[in-house]
Amino acid sequence: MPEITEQIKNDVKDIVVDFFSEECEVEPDTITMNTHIFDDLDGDSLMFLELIEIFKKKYNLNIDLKTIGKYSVKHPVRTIGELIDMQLLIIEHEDNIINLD
Amino acid sequence: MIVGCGIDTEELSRFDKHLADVENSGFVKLVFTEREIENYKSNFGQFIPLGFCCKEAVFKAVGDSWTTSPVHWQDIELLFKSVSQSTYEIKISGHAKKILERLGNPTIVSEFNMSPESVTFHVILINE
Repeated sequence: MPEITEQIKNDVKDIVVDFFSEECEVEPDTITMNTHIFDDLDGDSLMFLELIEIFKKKYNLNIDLKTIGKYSVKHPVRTIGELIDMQLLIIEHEDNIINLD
Repeated sequence: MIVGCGIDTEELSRFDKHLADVENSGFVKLVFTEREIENYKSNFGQFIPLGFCCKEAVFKAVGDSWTTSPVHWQDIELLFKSVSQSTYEIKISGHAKKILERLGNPTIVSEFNMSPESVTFHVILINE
């Protein structure tokens, strides 16, 4: 279970912003923590799944997609900031994310 | 009576990055069952986008998705009976099956259209 350092926080933010910038063809500096993934960027589930896979590979995460789905039911992700927060929790807790409040 | 309706369209090019090495693609393993991957071997380039599009259309038809309920991508399987895509079946299991039971076990009526650029899948749930 890795400790979430400032470096990891910055890396996750950069990966998320770069990913949506490329996929949605928007300038990175227009994406903020409050940017709505679906309403503002026209993001979709395919992008969401691809991003999960990117993080699974980068951090060698042991997490089931079903677990992420169950977590998302309780904690809906709508903005870039919420997505980054969820991703940091996944990196820190992996499959145990479901046991968090 | 129609109890659900879902339509999804996907650009084929969006799947290119996952088609280079399908059997080792993390994305493919997240979304598709082993049975689907085996079934799609003859034409991953068409069947992977079709399968994804079908699952999205079913999510929309039942009014739930993997981030709003315990339904999972692999609860919905699109399996082709012939390489020509002319016959196929949509198999439902897990939580998706429970949702359909709540809807009265409707018949799933579906069709798809495929162009060189995109695929569209239509799903209608009908109770007799």
